[in-house]
Amino acid sequence: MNRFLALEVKRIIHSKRFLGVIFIGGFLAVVQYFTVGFKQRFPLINWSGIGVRYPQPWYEYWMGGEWYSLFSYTFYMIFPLLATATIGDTLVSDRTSGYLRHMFILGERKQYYKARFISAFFSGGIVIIIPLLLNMLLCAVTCPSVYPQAATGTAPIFTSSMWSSLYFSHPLIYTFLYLLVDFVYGGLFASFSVAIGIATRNRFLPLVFPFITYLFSFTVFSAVGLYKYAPFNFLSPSQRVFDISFLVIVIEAVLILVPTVLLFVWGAKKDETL
Amino acid sequence: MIRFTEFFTQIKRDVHNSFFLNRYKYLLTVIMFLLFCLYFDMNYNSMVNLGLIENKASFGDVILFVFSGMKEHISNPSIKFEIPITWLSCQLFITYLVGDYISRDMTTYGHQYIMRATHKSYWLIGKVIYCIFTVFCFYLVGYATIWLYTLAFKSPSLFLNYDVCGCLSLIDVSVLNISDYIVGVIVLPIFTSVVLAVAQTILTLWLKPIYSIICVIAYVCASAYYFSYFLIGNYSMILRSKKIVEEGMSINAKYIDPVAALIIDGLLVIILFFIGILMTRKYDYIEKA
Repeated sequence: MNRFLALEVKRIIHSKRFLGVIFIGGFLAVVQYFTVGFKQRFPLINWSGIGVRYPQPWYEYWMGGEWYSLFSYTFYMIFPLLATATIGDTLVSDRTSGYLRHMFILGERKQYYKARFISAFFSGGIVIIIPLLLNMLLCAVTCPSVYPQAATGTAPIFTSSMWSSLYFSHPLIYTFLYLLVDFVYGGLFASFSVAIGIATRNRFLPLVFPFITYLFSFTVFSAVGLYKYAPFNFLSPSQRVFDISFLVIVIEAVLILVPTVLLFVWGAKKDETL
Repeated sequence: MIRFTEFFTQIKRDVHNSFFLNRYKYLLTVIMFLLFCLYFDMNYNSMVNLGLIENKASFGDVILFVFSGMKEHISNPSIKFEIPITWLSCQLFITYLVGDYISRDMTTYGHQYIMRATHKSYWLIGKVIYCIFTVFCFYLVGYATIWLYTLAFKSPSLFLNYDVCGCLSLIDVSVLNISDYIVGVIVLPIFTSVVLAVAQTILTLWLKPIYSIICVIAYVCASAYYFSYFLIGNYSMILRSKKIVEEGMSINAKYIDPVAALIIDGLLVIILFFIGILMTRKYDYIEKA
């Protein structure tokens, strides 16, 4: 499996699509910084004649920490597309081109599919995390890192929000925990798209199916008033709606993971490529 | 010389594909519009319970609710940027319907056609017609779904109720006449979606389909955020049209003139088509295949 993993990782790192997707995410991150974060770099300016105000920390206006800019909205809207774009259709194209046959000659099918799952998971997570980290670093080097204050009314997190006490006492830990959530979901979307590729011969379907599911879940949960269940609302560290629950995040991750694993197991057993 | 047989064979094939290839996606369209009806119902019932609405909602009210869009967004850190889910889902789902048809066609049957055809432009016209028919089918399925819902649970007429539209769509329908309604709610959303679909198709000649979808989604989100004639998503939101904005009595209010929007949409389709012609002339089909 290590051999397969090394091959897949090398393929991903050297692929133009991996760089292209990171470029798109990075572009959104940089533009968000210059339109939002950059304006906050002089925090102690006299404010409305009242005097010096408490500086707004970068936790409240980095790309994941705010909910009012176009670029933050767009990033979380195209989240599944970014995760799946690198690797989503590679299994279908490998099967068509005959690459899969060569791989199965080199080792066991099970080991190959395991390696594909792991490489897909990490590639999906990395393409999501890199733009967020870039934006976070840009904001952190130019803007204050003071504790957010609930009394200022500028923080997007409220007392009823998930991990609110952590946000106000240890905001950096909160941010990194949420980055981990985004990494896991990015990885799950990417693995799910590769898993779809096991069951179909259409190259386009694995790329967009996670996005369509994401969009449909947003529509369904909005239609019935259960906003906190839509991944679009809970993936952003700014928590776009109230009463988001970590249990919901875990359950929905498991709901993506289970069919993904089942499809990979089924593919490993039933693949008749050779 | 135009070869009519060759031309109509290509068009017939693309029209057939716009129905046949997307037949399961139209089922998803039905589900999506049923969800919109459920969303409308949830909001309608809460307003009825508050005593703000007395009339029974009509087909016209639901259509207006689904396609009204949003007022001009004022960027403010204390205001969360939200795009109405009904408007956004329609625009994004069409990107899925259009999909990678041109890219797939170019490497399969279309590749053979282009190599042998007298006029390569026939092939591209076929793709534009595919976009038009796909968008029309999407909206037709959507309207039919909403009409059936209103037939079963509400009133299936096109009559706009003042209280329903005022509370749910935030529109004073007394300023609208029938032509404003048809242009603003039916013609412009369809026409704008066609332009976006054609733009996505032409973009796919240059980029991979996934990148063209990302570009269109980003453009649609930007249209909701910024008010500009350059962002044509604004044209499909009746809440940003001239009569509705002027009714709000703000002197410096910005609005979309529906006539100008129609003209710009028409010009854009033509411009995009000619860009596509130029790109197909320089395209190396053999290497790409």
